[in-house]
Amino acid sequence: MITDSRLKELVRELCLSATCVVPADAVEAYRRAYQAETDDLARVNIRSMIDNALLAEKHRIPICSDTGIPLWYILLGTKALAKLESGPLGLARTIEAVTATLTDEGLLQPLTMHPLFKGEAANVGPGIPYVNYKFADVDYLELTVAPKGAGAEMFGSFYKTLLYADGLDGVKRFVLDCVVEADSYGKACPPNVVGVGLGGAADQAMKLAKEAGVLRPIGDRNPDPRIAQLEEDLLQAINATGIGPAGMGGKTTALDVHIETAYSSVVALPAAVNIQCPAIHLATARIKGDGTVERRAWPSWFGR
Amino acid sequence: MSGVHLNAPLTEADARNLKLGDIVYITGKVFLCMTSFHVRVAEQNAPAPFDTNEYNVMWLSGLVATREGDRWKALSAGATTSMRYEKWEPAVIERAKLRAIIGKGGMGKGTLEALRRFGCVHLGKLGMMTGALYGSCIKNINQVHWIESGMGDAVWNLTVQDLGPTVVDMDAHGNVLYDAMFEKQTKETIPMAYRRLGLEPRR
Repeated sequence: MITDSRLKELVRELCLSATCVVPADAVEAYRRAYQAETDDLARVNIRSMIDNALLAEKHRIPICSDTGIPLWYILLGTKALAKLESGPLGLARTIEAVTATLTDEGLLQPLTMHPLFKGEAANVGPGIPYVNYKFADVDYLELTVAPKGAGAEMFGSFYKTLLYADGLDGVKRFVLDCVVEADSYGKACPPNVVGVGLGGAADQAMKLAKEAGVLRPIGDRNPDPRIAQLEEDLLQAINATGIGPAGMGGKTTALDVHIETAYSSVVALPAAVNIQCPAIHLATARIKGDGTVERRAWPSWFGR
Repeated sequence: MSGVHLNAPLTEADARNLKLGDIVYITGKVFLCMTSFHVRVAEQNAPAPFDTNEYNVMWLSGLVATREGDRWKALSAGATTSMRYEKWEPAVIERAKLRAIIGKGGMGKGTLEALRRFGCVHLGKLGMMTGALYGSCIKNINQVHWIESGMGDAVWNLTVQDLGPTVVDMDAHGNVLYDAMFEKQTKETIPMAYRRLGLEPRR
């Protein structure tokens, strides 16, 4: 049985971990960037990011004062679902309750409010936390929290319906245009991870772009070698822009580029970009039907 | 920590002597705020809720802090995108008698002119998401004001030790670090990035 109290404990631990601990492979990526940079300002910038990550993990301090807008990805193992004490809706309620408690305790910044009429900021409200679900034929639930930093989200989200005729070159140009717009003056917090979604309908493209940017480890490549090549080519080009850390010049504008695809209308090529900030707020765990928990470095959201 | 170490409150000479690209650390009294402070001071002509001679370094950031009884404990603070406050900043610089603004990214022409006219600089944070690093520089939360609309938008009077590293990205003489950089990127490196992908750079 996956009891409510077990779930509550796990959700709290995941939220705090995502807030305070940068994934190890991301810190390694900072270190490689530090080695690659020759410019003084770029080096000070990256050095600060490394120092910050170490300090945050050691003292369990939030990596960034922007603790992120609550975003979850939950793999619903069909064999584990029946073991949830209060069912799937209970899971959603637990996430809301824990998020509200952590916000009250001051450990999470209240970061959302009505888009037009503001009011008091909170982390629980209409549409927030934003929880995504997917079914999987497994005997566990995989919970991933990836609270999203506002700088990268606000300045790094773009959508365009390209045409099939625009092809690969059209995609390359679109992504590079977006990155130049987002990262100049450091708006989208470079060096960051560029998520790209191609295909689907408009909303699917953006959803894929966010999943690509948020849920894949640094250095991971798409299993389709043609898409993997596009990821490599775009990463090289983005880092050739010279925009650099904080937009202050340098060789590291992106830590990685991740692309996900879906089928789309025969004439259209929906394309979306969604940038993930370098804090890479992320924590993931599997919980089995008997309540045992296994922490994982990264989710297996894409089933591969 | 090499760089320029300054004690806050700053003097006008402190601000005017700083050069574009200087790495700066601040020790002493600063205040941290977001939107409410700007709206009240610039639009509603409200006086700052503290002595502006004592606190003249404004830090634009959210703050993660926990409370035990009457005591606040700061955990994490970084810097928010300064450009969000462009429309209010010239008035805020004048009315709150600011000598330095700590934030992220550049600001607009109105702010640049106010920096020059009143003797103030913009200090960009170095390193993205430096919340733990900057937060650990906060030695005390002296007072909190205007917390009604939530702690995310309150005004915090702080004592800080070696807050930084920051870089002078807009000085008190009309210069902007990003402009020269952006021009070089636009003319040289960004077109190269397009060519690398076999694309004609945009004009």
